[in-house]
Amino acid sequence: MNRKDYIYGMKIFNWIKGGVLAFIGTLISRWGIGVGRFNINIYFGIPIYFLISCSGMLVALILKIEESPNERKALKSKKLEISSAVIYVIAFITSIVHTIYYNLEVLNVFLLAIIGVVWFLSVFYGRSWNRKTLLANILISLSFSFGIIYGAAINSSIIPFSIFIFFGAIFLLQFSKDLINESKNKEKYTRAGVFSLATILGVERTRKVSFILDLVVVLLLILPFIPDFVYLLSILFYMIPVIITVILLGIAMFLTYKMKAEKTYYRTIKILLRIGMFLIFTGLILAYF
Amino acid sequence: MKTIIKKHITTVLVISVLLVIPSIIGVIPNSNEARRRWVNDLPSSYEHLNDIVNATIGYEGRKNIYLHDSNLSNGFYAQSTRVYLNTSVNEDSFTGSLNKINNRQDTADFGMAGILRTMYLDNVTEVLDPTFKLQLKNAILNFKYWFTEPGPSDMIMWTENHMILFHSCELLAGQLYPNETFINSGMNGTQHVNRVLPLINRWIEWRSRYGFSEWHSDIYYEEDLMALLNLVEFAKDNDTATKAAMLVDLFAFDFANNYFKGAYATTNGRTEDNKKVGTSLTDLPSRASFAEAAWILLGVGYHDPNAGSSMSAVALSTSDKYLPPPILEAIANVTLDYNEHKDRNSINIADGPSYGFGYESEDDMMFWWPMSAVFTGETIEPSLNLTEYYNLGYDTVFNDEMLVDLIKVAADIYGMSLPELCTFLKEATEGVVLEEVNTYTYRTPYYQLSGAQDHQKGMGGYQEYIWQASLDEYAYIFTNSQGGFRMEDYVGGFNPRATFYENVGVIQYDRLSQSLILELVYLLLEFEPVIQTYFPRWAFDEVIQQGKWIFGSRSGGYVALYSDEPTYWETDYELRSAGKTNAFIVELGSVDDYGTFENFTSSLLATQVSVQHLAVGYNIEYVSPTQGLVKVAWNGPMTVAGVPVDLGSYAKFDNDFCHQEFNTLRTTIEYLNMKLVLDFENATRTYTEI
Repeated sequence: MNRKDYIYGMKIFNWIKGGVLAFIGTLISRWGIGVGRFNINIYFGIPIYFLISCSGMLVALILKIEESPNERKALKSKKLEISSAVIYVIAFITSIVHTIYYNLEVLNVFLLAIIGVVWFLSVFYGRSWNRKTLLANILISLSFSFGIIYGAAINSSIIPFSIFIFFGAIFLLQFSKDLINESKNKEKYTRAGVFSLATILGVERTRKVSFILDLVVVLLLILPFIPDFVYLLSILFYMIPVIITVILLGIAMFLTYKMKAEKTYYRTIKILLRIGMFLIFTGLILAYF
Repeated sequence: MKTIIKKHITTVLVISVLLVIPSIIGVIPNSNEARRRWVNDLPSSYEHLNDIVNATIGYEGRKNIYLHDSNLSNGFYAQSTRVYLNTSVNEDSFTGSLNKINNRQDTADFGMAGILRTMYLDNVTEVLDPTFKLQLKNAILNFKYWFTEPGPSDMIMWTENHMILFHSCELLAGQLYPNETFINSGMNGTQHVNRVLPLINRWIEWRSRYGFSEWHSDIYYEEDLMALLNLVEFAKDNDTATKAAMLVDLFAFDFANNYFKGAYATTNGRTEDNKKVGTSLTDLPSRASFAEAAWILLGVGYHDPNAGSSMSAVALSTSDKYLPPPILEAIANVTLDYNEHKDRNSINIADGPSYGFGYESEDDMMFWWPMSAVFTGETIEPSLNLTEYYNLGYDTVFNDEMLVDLIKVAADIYGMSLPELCTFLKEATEGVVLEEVNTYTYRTPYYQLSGAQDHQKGMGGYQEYIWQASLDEYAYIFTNSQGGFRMEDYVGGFNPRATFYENVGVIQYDRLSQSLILELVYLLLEFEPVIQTYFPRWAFDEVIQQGKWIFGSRSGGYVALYSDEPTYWETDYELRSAGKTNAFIVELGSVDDYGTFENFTSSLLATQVSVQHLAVGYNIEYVSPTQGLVKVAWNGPMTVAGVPVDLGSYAKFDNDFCHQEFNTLRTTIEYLNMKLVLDFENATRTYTEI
């Protein structure tokens, strides 16, 4: 892996997405919370989860480096481990200060502790696991999509049901995007001896998994349209971006289903899924504006 | 093997540490700040500022003094005095009011009340020039007396004070010209009288049952008094005149219970910045609008010879029929050194049906509109219907047509009906409504603490003034969370949860998170996220700031204010804390309790204060040197030394002299051998001395 690969592997955009999702989680669960507390939670919650996402991406990068044939990987991996741990600890301590000073319910710290445990176990045991790329993919999706749950937890220990729906949609959409990516780069991974789902299942079945995941995402996104099922402040603001998202996901699913082994549509599907992700974020922010 | 065990032990340790930390979270103590001190060399009283006349003479004496000074005034209302005293009037003084009346501009009713009094008085003295009198008569016959009449106008007719002013004006005008046709309505005077009498009696009954939704208003009681005194003096219906006199008695009773060292030192439902904020000894806060009337009635406060054109004072001093029962002045005197007074005014919108009020008809709206209830979920649609039916103009009913457009657009965007949206935005739409308020006033010779107990916490206000701790006329403090749709700088902001017991108060500012659109509106209206404390250093003998406490002393009275958030001096009279939340504790003391100011400050600095942030509001525990442990949170009771404090709902009046249940029509006030019975049901006013 060269420097460019490292920077790409850190997925800096996902750190931002983590912060944004923490904001969305706080936004969705703010009813019944004082405006002062809400503001404070925004000021603390976004940076804290930004750092947590960052540490999670570094953990995922460590796992990917382990697959790399580079002979200096141990050294690089060590540096990343220390960086990840330091960043995590900063975020964790900040969340403790935040919780103590503002007398928050302690669930948010427990959630970060659990995330810390997951990160730790992933580094400690995951690097010797032969399916570490799969683990890395899960960590990538988890490390930012979990932000929405964390954001809700800093407001209250009673997390609205909608949070879990949106968490599921975002997590699965990211995972689906990564599967498409793996399908696209299957040969490269196979040559490098790297484990990926595409390697085990084959490109065809991986695409089918991606198709199913997209379908689940669509179902999760339309659940809030069932009356009195999920509280939305503005159904209109939610509906517009989500309908576009569903259409884009539908096109992506169609292309995924239609394409055979050729890679013609990979790029298009990835772009569609990315736009879908962006629109979901937009829809959530607007729906609770 | 050893390596593997070591690895597992490390794992267990890391997991344990991570999971144990959240369980052992404690509280970080706050550090103290340096001590700062300001000393003033003020006179012991402010007599040098006013050529005051003290209340050592009786009602008739004060009335005559006022008449004398009013006769010298060129003000508009003072012209009634001149007519009453049979001296020549200054016709130019009428120009402004006449223009307003003829153009039907807002507050034209104030002028009309003055003109009608002048006309009635002139029937006796015949001072007015016949040509000028004809000009006044034409204005009276052309006027629009109620919104149901045709013709455009910019006049707000349905707030509590405007309503009785318009009604009383219509009655007096109708009585004055019973057979003449009123040009705007096409009705003759008698028809006007017949139409308005039930409306006047309805208004009086509402006030006698439910009090004044514009509670303790130091501006609008002035208008109420004028209208009522006009009815007392000139209404031909004896019952109506008697009931109006009884309401004036209740105003006097209110003044007796809330005046302290020359000022109406109490919480208000509607007030303005200039009544509350003084920047220096040369820029003092203005007195209550009815200050002269209160002085004439009871001798409370003082007389300013330059205030000869006060609306209510002129009405009172030119009234021959109204006489305040002596018991009221006796109570004002006996409570100078101690008083604990509770009262309740108004009802909650949601409780309407249990009091017989719905949310549909024009009559229903006439109960709700005076409470500023036009935007609530219950009232928005009938209010819009009524506005459109009578073509009243959105600006006059809803304050701004843009607000109506805005909520209509927002309702479409949110996919809600208008009532649903208004209910959802109740922080703003219901916050401005003058709903049930339970006020508390505690007085000693050195200080008075007054406040609205737990009133609409977290809601946006309009002109409310929630609490005040006073050491004298100018040395008083209050807090305000900047905001309020009236756009006043120091009053009417977001309401705190304010709770009081004797000399201690706890005031918490916070509010529930809202739609970000509403927050955006607040931003556009330039509501600053600050909480202000009016603490006029210039008015205190000495001010000391140490840590989170600030202390003030004045003439043997002491006040201490604790602010949980850091504060800074914005000006010489205003402290600020940044943000939308803060918790304050106020404690009052005196030289009798503590000896010296230093003892007071050191006692307070040694107290234990615990302020815990909650999801909304705070949980506060404070060990008061005088009251013991005071505990209160955002929700739930306030306890003092383990005993819950009565935060409401109160009786209509509850003090040493009167206990009247809310929603009843009979007030009995007793002191020593004196007894005043005001029976609104039978329209009897009985005063006895045994």
